[in-house]
Amino acid sequence: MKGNLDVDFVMAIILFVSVYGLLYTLLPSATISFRNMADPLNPASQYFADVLVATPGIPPTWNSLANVNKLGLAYGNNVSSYANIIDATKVAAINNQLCSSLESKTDITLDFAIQIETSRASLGCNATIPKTARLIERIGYLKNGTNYDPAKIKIWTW
Amino acid sequence: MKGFINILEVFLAITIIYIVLSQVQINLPPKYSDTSNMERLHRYAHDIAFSICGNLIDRRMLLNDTLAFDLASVLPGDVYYHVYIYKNATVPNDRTLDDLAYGYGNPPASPTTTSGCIIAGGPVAYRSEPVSCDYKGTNCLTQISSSNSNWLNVTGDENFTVTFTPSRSGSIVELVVEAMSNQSGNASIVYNFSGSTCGIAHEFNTTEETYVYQLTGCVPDSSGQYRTTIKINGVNASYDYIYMNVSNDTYSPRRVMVQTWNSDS
Repeated sequence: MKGNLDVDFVMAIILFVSVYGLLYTLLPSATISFRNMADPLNPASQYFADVLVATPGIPPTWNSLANVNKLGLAYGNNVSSYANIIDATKVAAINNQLCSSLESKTDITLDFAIQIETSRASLGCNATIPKTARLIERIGYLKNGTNYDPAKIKIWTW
Repeated sequence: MKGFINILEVFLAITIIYIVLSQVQINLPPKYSDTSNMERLHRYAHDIAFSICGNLIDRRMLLNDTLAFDLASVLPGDVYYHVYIYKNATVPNDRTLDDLAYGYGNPPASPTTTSGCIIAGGPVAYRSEPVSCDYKGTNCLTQISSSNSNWLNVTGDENFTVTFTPSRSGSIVELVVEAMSNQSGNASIVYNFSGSTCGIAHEFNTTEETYVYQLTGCVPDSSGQYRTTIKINGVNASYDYIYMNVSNDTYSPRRVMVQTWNSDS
């Protein structure tokens, strides 16, 4: 019986691989359509990451949640803004805040979490990140006065 | 017949397990690293280029600084990059290097992807020579003199009149005032550039801050000197130190290009 089962198992594996190979060869469009449908929220997530990293928000010199109309973490003033230069003042303003409390400051409808990691600290808003959340990693500098620390900006959306 | 049924049962079991696992995998949203490699490399090249552009603009970095190297610490281990600074930002095909390319790894003959940004408009970021001086005016091509020699431990309201003269004509003068307070409060520093149209007031509301003031467009007095008065309102704060850097560097547009690739061959 045991010997029969092993032979059955091997035969079944061969049969499975054959059928799978046949379907994969004959129906490539099926696998492609699966891939395209895999993450419908990806465009909005990438847009949100771009907004956070590359724009200073509104107003551009906001320094607390009380005076920000639209969230953006890039350093800026009334004349210029600097993509990928993350303003430590703005990061401090969202640090340890509930991420859900920031959602009204964005123009997306996704739940999100933000974390900025440098060699000195890890800062960001608080949220329980589900295992199914997508993670977008960007890099830049955290500007704190004249100090520029290389920073990894992690953005989860779900 | 019995053997065939066993084969069929096992086949069905494997198929069901595969379908279940496939569904679980499909339902998991892809991470950033799951995007196509080209897209990922381009994204990192873009981030590096704009990080350096923004940093250069704000810091007036020297091109041979370690700026470009430290980004490797936040990049994934399989991503390498090189940064090139081109002399002419306004001619699209001009690839005259301004300085040695620098970065992380050895770029392949055909880079995987490139991305770039142009530092243009004023002020732009290229320092032709290192010029800086501390509050005492030492190590400085441009001499600074102050009406108040007590730059340290400033408390209360005090006025400083600072004069300086650019050592090169036609250059952009940059004045940096750095103040650090041991208290937060209603402290402020007010600059008034006498004899010019570029006066500005700037408040220091944090415990430590550097303010860069560019004298582009300012008019020196008849002796060629710039003159400024710095007033410190130290109502609820005391300043540990204040110093000035005056640089008279030549700035002009530059193009920053970044290559990224995967394997360091």
